[in-house]
Amino acid sequence: MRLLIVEDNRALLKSLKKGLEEESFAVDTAEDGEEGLFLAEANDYDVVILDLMIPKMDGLTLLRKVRAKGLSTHILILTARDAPEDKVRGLDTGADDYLTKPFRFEELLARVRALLRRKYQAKNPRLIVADLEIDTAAHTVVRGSLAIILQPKEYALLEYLAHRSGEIVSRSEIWEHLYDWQDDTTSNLIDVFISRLRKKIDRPGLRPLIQTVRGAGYLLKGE
Amino acid sequence: MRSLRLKLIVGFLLVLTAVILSFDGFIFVAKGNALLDILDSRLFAESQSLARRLEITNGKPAFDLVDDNGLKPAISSFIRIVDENGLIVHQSPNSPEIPWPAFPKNAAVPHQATARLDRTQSAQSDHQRKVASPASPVWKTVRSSRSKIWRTVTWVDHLEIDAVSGEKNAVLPETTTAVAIQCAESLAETKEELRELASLLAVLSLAAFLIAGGGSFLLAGWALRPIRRINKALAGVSETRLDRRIDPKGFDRELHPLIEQLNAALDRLEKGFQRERQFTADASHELRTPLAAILNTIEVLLRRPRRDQELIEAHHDNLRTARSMQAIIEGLLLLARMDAGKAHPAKEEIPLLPLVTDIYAAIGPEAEAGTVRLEQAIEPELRVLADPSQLRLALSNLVDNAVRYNRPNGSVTIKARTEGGGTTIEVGDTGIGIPAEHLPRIFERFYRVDPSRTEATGGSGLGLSIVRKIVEAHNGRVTAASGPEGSVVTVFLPDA
Repeated sequence: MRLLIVEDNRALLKSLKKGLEEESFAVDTAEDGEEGLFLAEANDYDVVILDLMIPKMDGLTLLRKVRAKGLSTHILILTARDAPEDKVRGLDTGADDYLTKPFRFEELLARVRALLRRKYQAKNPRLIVADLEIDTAAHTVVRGSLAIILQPKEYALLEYLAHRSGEIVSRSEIWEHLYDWQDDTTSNLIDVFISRLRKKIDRPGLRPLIQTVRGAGYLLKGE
Repeated sequence: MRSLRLKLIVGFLLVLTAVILSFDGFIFVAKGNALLDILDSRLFAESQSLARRLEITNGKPAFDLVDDNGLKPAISSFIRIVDENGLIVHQSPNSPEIPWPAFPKNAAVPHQATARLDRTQSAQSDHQRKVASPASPVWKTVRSSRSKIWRTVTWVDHLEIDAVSGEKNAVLPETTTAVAIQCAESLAETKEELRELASLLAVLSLAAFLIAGGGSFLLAGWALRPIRRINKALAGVSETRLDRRIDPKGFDRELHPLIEQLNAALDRLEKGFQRERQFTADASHELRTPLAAILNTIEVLLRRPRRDQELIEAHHDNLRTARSMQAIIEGLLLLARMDAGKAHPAKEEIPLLPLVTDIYAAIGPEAEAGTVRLEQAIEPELRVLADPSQLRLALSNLVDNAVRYNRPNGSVTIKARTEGGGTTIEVGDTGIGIPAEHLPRIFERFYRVDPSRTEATGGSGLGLSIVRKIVEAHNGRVTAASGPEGSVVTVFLPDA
């Protein structure tokens, strides 16, 4: 899952990026409104975390422009402004959620996860494909009765495929949702992660869940 | 007595009482005088009438009390006739004890009886002394021993010695040429009449007082009604509803200035509250963001085991953030202390050059990192009247800004000169300048030309407002000017 953080306090930006990346998110950052708008328009972010008082273009203007362009990215406002009228204005301008500083990182994570569920139209935080079960809150994966340990990128890949289970997902889509723009990973690496994931999930004797669609991409399917 | 209504009523009633009392007094005195006048003229008339009927035959006085028509005149007074030696010639019978006035000394005695009744003139007797008409009557009020008050009239008349004297049982000696005719009447009736008048006036006055008192109570209430209305209108204005104003329409013209003043005061109050709210919101924002950064850094750190390098880096990050919070908090505390009127400048004459050199030395390393030259043009003997630590803080903040917003290889220059009863200090930079529309507001708290709070520019957002506060505490002025080649902040500190 790929996020954008628009925040001008570098210390906060740095710790947010670090914390979210450790939760296997791909994180892009912007320190002012213009850069934030540029990135938001250029990439299909799953969630944008947006500060309001930022240089060059304030957060609400950015939000308005993003919505005017018809982008449906889920946007969470993260600001020190805690007045009810600010919250109303923020949500009514097109934000999907509003969190005030200072905040608990756990809460921010939970809200980001909730926005992701909303985006992929999943009510259940446990994603179930056949006998594979993914707990998106705890980041644990179980197949049958066997717990599977995954590396963060492997988990991110599996969660993305599970969110879109039954659909063919192209390599570039996977790439776009797993890596931030600074990563110079090539899409070949995705094949590597897919094969690693297969080894852990589709063990010999089990029915394979991850299928390769030649020339199109990959498919996670129950039956 | 702190009630306006009570004051109005009492004041009105005091005036009313004075008016009523003087009116009563006037009526009472006028009526008394009128009654006395009537009494006096009656007394005098009676005395004249009696005098005309007096016939002194051979030194014996006698009254002819029956007039030509056979009628007795109505005489209610007592009469006495006395000669200049105090000899009582005649006194009314049954006369009570009256302290008669003495025979008037130096009384003007007419040489001749001035008038004469026809009747006495035509009297046949040759042997008579006749009392003729009076001259200059004197009225007097006397008090008898039994505290009875009498009104007397005394006048002197010439006696015509007509004829034979030497009568044996003459009452009057031959030598008597003039007698005093005195008449007295009790004032009891007059007094009674006046007492009745007084009672009547008292009753009427009391009634007027009560009616006017009630009226003034209502009138005062009516006059004060707009105050109650203004009060009611003001009651609707609270801290959260400061935008309300009193509409002068529907109020009397006299109250319009008051209402305008009240509305103007409300305007100022509202602006003050707005500033205060904005300031509080700004301050909380400025503090919450770095606080969020520190908390988040620690929270993320604690989610899993960390390498030493990560821990050290996080500590550095938090230290830097905490320092920026410290700068804001110290700035806020200083401003609050100065707002509260504490932190009075302890002024003394200090040489400016060493102070500037000190500030440059402290800020130097930072400036060198951005390659900004620090320059000054200050006479070594120039002295400034200021609080040394406050002036140091103000100049440090200005130099700090000048360095921070400078361009690479730019410079900061401090110039100073004595002029206009004080010292002018200019801090100039070669930076990006300040757009004209921002110039009037840069001394406001947390005001930023660019609302960025990145550490690239840093600062607490309070530096210039602290400068202004310090300069104002010194009764000085601070202004800013900006152009394409940089900005200049000018501080003027008066010598007194």
